[in-house]
Amino acid sequence: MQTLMKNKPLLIAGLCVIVLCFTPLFVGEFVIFVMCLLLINMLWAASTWAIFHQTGQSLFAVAVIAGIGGYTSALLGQTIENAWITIALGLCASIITGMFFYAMASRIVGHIQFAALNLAFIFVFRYLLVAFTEFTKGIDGLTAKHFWPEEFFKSIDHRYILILLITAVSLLIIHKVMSSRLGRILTFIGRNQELAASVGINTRRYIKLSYLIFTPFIGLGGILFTHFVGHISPETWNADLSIIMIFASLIGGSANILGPIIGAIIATGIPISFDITAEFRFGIVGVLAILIFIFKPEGIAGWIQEIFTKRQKIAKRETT
Amino acid sequence: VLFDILVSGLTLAGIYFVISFAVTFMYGVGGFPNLAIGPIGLAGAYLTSIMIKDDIHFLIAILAGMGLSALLAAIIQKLVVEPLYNTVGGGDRGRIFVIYGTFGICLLFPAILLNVFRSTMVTMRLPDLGAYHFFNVTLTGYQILSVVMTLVILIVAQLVLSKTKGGTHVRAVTQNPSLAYLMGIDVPRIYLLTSVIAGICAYIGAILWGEIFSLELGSGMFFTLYGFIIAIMGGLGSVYGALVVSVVLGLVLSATSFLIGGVYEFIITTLVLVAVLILKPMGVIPTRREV
Repeated sequence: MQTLMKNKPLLIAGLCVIVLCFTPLFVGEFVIFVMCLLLINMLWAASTWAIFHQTGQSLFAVAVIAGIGGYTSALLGQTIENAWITIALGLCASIITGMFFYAMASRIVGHIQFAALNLAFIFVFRYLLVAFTEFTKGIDGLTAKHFWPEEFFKSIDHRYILILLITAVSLLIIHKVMSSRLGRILTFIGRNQELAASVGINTRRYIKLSYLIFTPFIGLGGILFTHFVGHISPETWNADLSIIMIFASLIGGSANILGPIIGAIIATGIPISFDITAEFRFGIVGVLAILIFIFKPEGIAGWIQEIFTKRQKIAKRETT
Repeated sequence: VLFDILVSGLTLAGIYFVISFAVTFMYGVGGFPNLAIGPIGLAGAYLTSIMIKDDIHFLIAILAGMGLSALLAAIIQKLVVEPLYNTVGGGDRGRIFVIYGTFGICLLFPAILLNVFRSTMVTMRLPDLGAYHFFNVTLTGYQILSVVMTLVILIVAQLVLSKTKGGTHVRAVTQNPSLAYLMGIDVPRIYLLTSVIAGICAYIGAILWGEIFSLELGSGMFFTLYGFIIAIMGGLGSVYGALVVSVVLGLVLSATSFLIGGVYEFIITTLVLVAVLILKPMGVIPTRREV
């Protein structure tokens, strides 16, 4: 019983996943489509949270890492029948891209310089996609196969369940890593790298490890997106995607993994739910993130936690 | 061709310098990396263009556009940059949040410009300054003006910073804001003034760009990106560094455009940026400010 109570949050999360598995029985295709996007955004937001907010790396090139994963898988899918092989190769490409950014981060002095370089690479990626139209089909983009076996995954419900399970497992892995000893060291490095180095932590090794662990999840998000939609074009992989994922953690709160999950729900939900002009949609998420960060730096998850703690304290006082 | 490359390169260098001056000046004084500076300049240029189109005298249109850019720069400085910077206790982390926060503002600008001005692309239509011939190359008045503007900004900045009381205050805040505050200098006001000057410079860069090339909704982000890349390569906060890099980059991009095509311009810029950041991590002419 004690073990069960200790793992209460995980049990609740597991129950949520089981309940969500049955969603296609009650809702239409549009809702399932939105939920798939939401799940992929959760994966991006959680991995961005781990590497940006916790490890303190100004990795802004989420769009590049995810885009390279998606494009590799889609391009190889033109010749390889089994999508799972192309997905694995796409993941490898994302890891190599992540390590390229690590190599840059370890050589460049200053967070601002690194952030600007990341931003520049997002634009370079798009220019390259347009320049090599012969392979990438330029702004029209490429058609990507759905997951393998194709016949089975033609149904959006099947794709949804697959994405739900992959996202749930990925979030669990990120959560487990961040609450382990390794996660605590990464957070310590993120808070004060000099102090961490001064107490004997090999900061370079741990930062490298953080890139190795978390960038594949960013790439996985890009690959899932590509195979879910069945199409990939340069339009998706712009700087807006990167910044919205950083904003998701600001909105939700960066204390634990619940923050980016809540943030991703809001950042995906606002543009879809409200009847506002299309151009304003991402801007509103940006303004909301700034307002929450200035007035409630702990984010929505932190705010909810604060309310619960207060209630618990009051209840405790009343019983004594 | 060589002369064509030189002329086109210097024109580009002039505009790039004006925009990167806005970035580097703001960073140099307050340490604020404001990514919204490009769209701020663009908003003023859009207003000027629409007013000229509506037959309003160009001087009034320029003043109105400049005023709008200055006002937006002040508002963003007070409502976004300073609160974001102070929430995380300043420093490098504060600057990173200013970058992301002001980028969020950048996302909002194209939507606002489109809804207010109902136009995705504008042309400036400022009064014709004539065309001049040098060694078989024809130069427009605005191409010459972009180079002249560089010199004017450099000279005025130098004179104001070294000869006036306000300039001394700005230098004091740049060197040590806490001590300057203790000596009775109104530091927040200096920051506000700096952002207003940066907004005006961004506006000048935008109208020069609009007159020589054209302006569209995405131009603001483009100005920001080039402004930042040049400021970083020059050494954040270093005006002379920005000048050197603007000239070199202007010539390199002009040559790239002539020899292999415009699509590779930005790729070359990024490669130059990577090379500079690896070989000279603090920029070509570093400043004493810690980045």
